[in-house]
Amino acid sequence: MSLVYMFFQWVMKVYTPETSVRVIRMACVTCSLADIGFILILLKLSSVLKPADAPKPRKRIWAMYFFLALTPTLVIPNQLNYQLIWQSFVLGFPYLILAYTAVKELPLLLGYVKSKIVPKLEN
Amino acid sequence: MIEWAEIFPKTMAIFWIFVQQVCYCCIKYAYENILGRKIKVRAYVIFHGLILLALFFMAFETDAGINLAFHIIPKKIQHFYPHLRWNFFFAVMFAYDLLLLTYAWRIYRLFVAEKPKPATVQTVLLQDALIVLFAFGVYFLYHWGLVMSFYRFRLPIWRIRGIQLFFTGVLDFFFPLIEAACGLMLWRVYKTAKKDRLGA
Repeated sequence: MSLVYMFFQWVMKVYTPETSVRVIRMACVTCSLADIGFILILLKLSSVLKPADAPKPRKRIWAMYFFLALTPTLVIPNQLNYQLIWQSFVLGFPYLILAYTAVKELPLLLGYVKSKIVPKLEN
Repeated sequence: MIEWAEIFPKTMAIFWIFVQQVCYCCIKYAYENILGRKIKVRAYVIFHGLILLALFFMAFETDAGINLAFHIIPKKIQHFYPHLRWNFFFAVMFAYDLLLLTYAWRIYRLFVAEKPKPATVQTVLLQDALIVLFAFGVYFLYHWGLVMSFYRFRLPIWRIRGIQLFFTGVLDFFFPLIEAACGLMLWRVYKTAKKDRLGA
């Protein structure tokens, strides 16, 4: 137990409120970059898999580039209230697009992945 | 303004968990579908919907949520409820992210392997259970240590917030790593698809 207490003592010493604010800001940026990167790959994959005459998800891709451009603003210090709202907005919208894409493009992605895996399973 | 600042992050936390649940149901359905197994989609949706509803009550401190929480949690740790609650949301997100990563990895292994060997239903269930246990085990151990230190060593109450934030800070480090790992697997699928469709 004393080890646990020593650990918390160390946390209290190292992890000051200022450090936590900096860590949260950096975490928001890295999370946003990873999210947007993942969604962009997903959107690119679905546009490759779509038939040539089918509409491509261009608007969603442009929206992702827009939020990618907004990502550096997450490190700008601001009043906490505004910052929370701004972080939620910049991190939240790409997630909305992710949910929409996951549901909408599932049959397309599943069809492709299945076409590659099922023959191997049957052999 | 203060109300907005409280409501917005809570709404977003619930919303993020909702999106993770959508992605989890999609990937679970995809995995079982690839292997020709049938899953009860409606049961999954209802189960995860109930989890979301419970989290919603917890987040917005509705009377029902507080009553339920204060009946379940011991009196000794009721002081910590606001701190425990926020970290609990992070633990839920962490569990969902780990589950998503595992399913992405399983599908990816089937995709790249020449002779894929799919896991049995029991193995998949056991692995999922272990992942959930791991995520909540980390949460409960950390906070158990925190509560014990508070009572046994008279840890100052104003320092609790820092220790609570340290937990979220550590998890914040893992979230982008998990997403990047999923992104790398998806990138490999994208390259193969591009090669197949465009011959590039």
